Amino acid sequence: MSPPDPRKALEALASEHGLPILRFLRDRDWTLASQVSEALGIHTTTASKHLTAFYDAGFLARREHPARRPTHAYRLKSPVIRLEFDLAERVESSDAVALGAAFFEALMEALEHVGGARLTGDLVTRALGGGDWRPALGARLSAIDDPRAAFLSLIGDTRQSLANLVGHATADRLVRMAMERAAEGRADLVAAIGLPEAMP
Amino acid sequence: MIVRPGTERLVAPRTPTGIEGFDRLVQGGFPRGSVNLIAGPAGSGKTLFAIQFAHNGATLFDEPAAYLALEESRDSVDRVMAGFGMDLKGLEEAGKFFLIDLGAIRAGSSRDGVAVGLRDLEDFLRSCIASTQIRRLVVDSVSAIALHYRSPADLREEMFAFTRFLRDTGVTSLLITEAPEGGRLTRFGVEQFLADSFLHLALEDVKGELRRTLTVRKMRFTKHDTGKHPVHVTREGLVVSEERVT
Repeated sequence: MSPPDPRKALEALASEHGLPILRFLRDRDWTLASQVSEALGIHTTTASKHLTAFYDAGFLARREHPARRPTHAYRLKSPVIRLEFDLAERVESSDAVALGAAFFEALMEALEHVGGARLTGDLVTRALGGGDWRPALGARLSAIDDPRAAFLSLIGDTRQSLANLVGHATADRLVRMAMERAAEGRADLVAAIGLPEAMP
Repeated sequence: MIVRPGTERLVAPRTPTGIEGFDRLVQGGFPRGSVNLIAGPAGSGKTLFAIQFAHNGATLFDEPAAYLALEESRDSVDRVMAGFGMDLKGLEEAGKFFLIDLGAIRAGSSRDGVAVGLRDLEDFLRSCIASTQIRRLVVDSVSAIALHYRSPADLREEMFAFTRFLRDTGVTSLLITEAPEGGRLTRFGVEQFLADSFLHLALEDVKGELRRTLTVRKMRFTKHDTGKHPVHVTREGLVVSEERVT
């Protein structure tokens, strides 16, 4: 399902019938547009448009009316309604893998300067289970449906694995260095994936 | 130094350096688990002494060692080691020697262009010691860390806490610090008061040639030689001469 369009929800809420409809639904179970229309004295089409907008915004649950198909019945999911807007761009799995590889490569290079092959080997073992880090990293990032969450989880786990080897202060410095390097030339992707939030 | 028969048990357990001629000056080595300071001007042999202490631990005494470089790069230290026939790569692969270049971190980050502080170092060492099981540690150098602090008083306070932490780890440590030529014994004038031992290396002009010397100025729990001894750099590394400089 495509993410809810916040503009429709705001338009419906802003109209003179928006809040009365939601309040009407507050203490009721499954309700038809015609029942809303009758109770509030508005046209059935108006009631139906509002109910559809509130459903699309995620405020209402909907089911087909068993006796009068294709009519829908609605009810509130919760008596408390919160509006949240996710302004982040959608992140593709391939983008997360590319950024993750750039981050890990920069981290390995920095770590090589600090502690040589032993330290990089220890990190790969702890963070990705050992072996060749590239396929392991790709598999890990592709295994989670949400690429953004997968990337941020990789950063968090890598940071902790590194802290176990070199302490938190040094680990944070190294992760920050690697993030800065990985972010070069990828401003849009970095913003979409939320890299600044993950910066230690 | 001669230890009289029957008094050996009074000597605290030692950590031999394996440096020819040195251990006999200090009853067989540094007290185990102690914090030791070596100071000297550039070219006096501090780094080589420290590398040999760590390398000999790993190769001769089955004591894995870590060498923390804060000013020198890994390549630079590796080149010194290779020049004396020491195999860094092999020892690292065997988990016996760990050369860590913490200076690379501040050099590589846009936000960390300042020296690493002692608390950062303590944080690092807690993890490093737990993951590597080292028994010897070199910090090269305290002078680089001291730049992190505004005053000698701040440095002294932080160093006091740091040396206490090092003793608690049980690892035998060797800290390097600079000493200005012909001036104070240590660059900041506080380092020697916080360590269990203090070795001073010097460069002296003798008939137009520089001569290296070593003096053990202080070593707790130890009846140590207090003379000034010539130090020679040979193919195998430093050798401390038995004779005294008069």
